[in-house]
Amino acid sequence: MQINTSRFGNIEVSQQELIVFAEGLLGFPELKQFIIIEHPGGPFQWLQSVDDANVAFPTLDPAWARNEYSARLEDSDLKTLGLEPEGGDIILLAIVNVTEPSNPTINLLAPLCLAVDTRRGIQVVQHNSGMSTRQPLIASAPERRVA
Amino acid sequence: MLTLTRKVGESIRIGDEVQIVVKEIRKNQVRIGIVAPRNVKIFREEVYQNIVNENRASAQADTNAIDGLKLNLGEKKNKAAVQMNPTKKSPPDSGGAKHINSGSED
Repeated sequence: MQINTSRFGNIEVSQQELIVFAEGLLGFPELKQFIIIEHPGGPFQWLQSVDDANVAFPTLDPAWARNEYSARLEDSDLKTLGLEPEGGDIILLAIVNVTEPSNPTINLLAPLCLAVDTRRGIQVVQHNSGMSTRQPLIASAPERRVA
Repeated sequence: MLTLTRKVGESIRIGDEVQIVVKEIRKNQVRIGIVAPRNVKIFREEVYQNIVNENRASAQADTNAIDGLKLNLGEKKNKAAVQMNPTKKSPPDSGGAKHINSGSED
């Protein structure tokens, strides 16, 4: 099928490439279907909305920003991902914010979890983890605490 | 917005599956218990707004902005990990709802 994107033009994708976010993303509850587009030269990956050509989120494996980063999933998260009861393989991606080009940051408080086998996704909030929504990607930049 | 006045120990029910309980009141703080099904997401409002704002800001990026990042990412040492609790049992409740905020504050 053909999908239209504002950043990458028209793209041919197969049904198998679609990832379903049953709950959308926070602030974007109506956007349920996405595909992953590799940024040329990597390592960033764009989560491109299939429902809205203009919406795409640049993402990065959070391990780039923080070694040993881990995310907790609750039972309800597993259910949304279709992974009950034993769990399954999951890809973690964290959304990058480049509003300030000199201080790109990454959201470690609310990463994206993509279930490989079921091709479903969810944005999980790591409540009480102390993680920041704006973890600097450049080591020398100071970390800003956002309430 | 609907505004109700409650005393300590009193509750508010929202729909058939959500209950708000006023647990404790001290000076300028109120301790609130929430009973809701697991699929209902519950946030401190400022946390919710923070994440929504970050999502919206991130979605403004174009490919040039990502290209322009002068990152010295170095070598990615470890893959990020996911912890799942597939065998975690919720406390016995009627109707499958789960108590939240029954433990410690952050």
